[in-house]
Amino acid sequence: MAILITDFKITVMPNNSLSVKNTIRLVMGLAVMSMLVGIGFALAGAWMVLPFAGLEIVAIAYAFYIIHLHSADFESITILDDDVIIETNGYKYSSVEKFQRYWARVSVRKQADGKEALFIGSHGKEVEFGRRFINDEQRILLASQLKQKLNKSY
Amino acid sequence: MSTTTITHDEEHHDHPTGIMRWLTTTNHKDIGTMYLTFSLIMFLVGGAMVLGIRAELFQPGLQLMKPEFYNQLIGVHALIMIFSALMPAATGFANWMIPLQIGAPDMALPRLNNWGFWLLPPSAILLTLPFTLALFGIGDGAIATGWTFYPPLSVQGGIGVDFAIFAVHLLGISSVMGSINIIVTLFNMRAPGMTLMKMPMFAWGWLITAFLLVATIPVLAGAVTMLLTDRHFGTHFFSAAGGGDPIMFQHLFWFFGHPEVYILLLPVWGFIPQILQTFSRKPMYGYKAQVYSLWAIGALSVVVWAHHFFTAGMPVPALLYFMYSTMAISLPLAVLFFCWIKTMWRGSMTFETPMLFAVGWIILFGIGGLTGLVLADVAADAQYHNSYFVVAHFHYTLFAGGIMGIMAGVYYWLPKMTGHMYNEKLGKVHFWLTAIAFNMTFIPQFFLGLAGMPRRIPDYAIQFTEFNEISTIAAFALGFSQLLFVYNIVMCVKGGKKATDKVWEGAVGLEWTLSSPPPYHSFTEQPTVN
Repeated sequence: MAILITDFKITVMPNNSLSVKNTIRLVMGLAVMSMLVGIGFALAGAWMVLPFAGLEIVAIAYAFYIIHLHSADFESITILDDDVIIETNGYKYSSVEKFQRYWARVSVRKQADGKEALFIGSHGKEVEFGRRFINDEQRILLASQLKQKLNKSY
Repeated sequence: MSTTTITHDEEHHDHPTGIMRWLTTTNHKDIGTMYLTFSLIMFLVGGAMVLGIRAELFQPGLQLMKPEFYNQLIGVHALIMIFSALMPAATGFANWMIPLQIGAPDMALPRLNNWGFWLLPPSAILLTLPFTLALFGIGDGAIATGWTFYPPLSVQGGIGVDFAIFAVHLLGISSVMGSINIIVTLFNMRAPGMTLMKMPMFAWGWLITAFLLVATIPVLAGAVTMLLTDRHFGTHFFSAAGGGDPIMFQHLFWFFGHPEVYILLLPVWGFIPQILQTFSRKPMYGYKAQVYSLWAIGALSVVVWAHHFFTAGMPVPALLYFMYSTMAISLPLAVLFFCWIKTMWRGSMTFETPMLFAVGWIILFGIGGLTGLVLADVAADAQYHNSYFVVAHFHYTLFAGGIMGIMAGVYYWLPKMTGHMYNEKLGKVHFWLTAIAFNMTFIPQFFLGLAGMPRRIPDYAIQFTEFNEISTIAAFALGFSQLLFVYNIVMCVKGGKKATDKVWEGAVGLEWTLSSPPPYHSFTEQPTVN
């Protein structure tokens, strides 16, 4: 039985167990709690508590904001009949690269800093995949899976 | 089209070696190890200080040191044990275990995690440096106000107070950083299927701890900053002569200080039930009841602060309110005790070292809780306030309830962390020596307090001699028995019998599905919780 893979996609992305709505609720809840304490003591004369409470809330909100900015980050490889499409999406950048499936080559090479990097490319052009979300072991595993998928279809 | 989610975000792909690994690491296990190591070192430093205190108290009269130096030892011992030993130990466990327990590859904000740790060593230096400076004729030594910083003494004190104020600021920033990280991690990085009500109890304990820190650290930061401006910038927040109110400082300090007790204890209340269920080979009893009780205790802890200074003078309705609200904490705490005991009830129990510490912890912490009820009574407190009864009470809560709990956690998770089994026989000897010496140190102090011996004074009336002698001898036994603990940890880190992945037969939780020790990157494939 021949196996024909007509479409195949791998997506790597962070897991976010908190929705945006619940993030806002949580930060607001923490802000109300901290501000109640700060305002209470300020009314009693200890006003210096208030700026510290405010700073803390700003820090908490910023931490959640940073996490939120990265919540939609992903990298994906889509293998179609004739093409291999690499998508990279971050909050400051996004790119789509397309390669001829027949000519696409997968390689894992050690970098100067000692880490492995997974490249997909053809005709002298390459794209690194999985730089942010996966580790060395996963890159090597993913590379062998990709090679299999690309080879099996022809 | 099939879509496969492989793993979570990773901030670090390679891991440097040598000193740079530890300076720059963002790996949760490395940072957890640093917290725990720092905590152990500071535990020994704080312990050495208390041996000096107990040596002075062996006999009435001034034997070894001047009263000023004695008071410095008292204050720095407390600050070190609370902020540099107990809190970092709990944070170390949080770093090590929370990602493992919730199926995350790391903490949500790894760089923040690194910064949070590296604020601790400078703060420890700030706390202890004034001792050294005094040897060279600079300043008059460390903070001598006790850990409470009460004005007017702290306003009039030497540079040790300034050093302590900056140390507290650094510790506060570190705590807030840790709290933010834990809140974000627990809310945003749980494995698919792990709802909040499926989180391990340790994660719950830490989540509530993080909320308490967020609520109270700004109050402490504000209070010590006002103290600093009173000392150097001519303000009169706490100076009655300038229209200020020294009692206001007590309100501010204990608004932080009382929840701080629970900040130290809640993480322990989180992992003790896990230890009990492991060695009872039974599911944890009353999971939901325990979670709700932890929340109730957390909420009550921020509204009971003034029971620490009933004798400072306040209106009768306020006295009654703080008395009854303090006593109300015993209700959810009783639920917890019931659940802990019921978890063990008719279980197939074995008594390895973590279980010995956990069971001993229940009994000894129970004594701490019950003597707290005595102090919550306004009428009784008038007699016991500032006596050795209070010293004995809070050591039952913080040494037995805090440090012995942490020791249970160390023995429980050490094989998972190192991949080696510790010396079980030595662990058991350590437990019995600690438990016996601890009781022999502090039971006499209950009697000393009831008889009227005041705390924070290096001399005492001759009638208190025998109890003080017993207490001092036992304190030295307690102190030196901790060297067994250190030896056992060091030998376990260096080698020993290989630990299995599950380590304990009855262990439950995601952390036990990983190898021992876990890989550098936890959960390279995301687990799903059913």
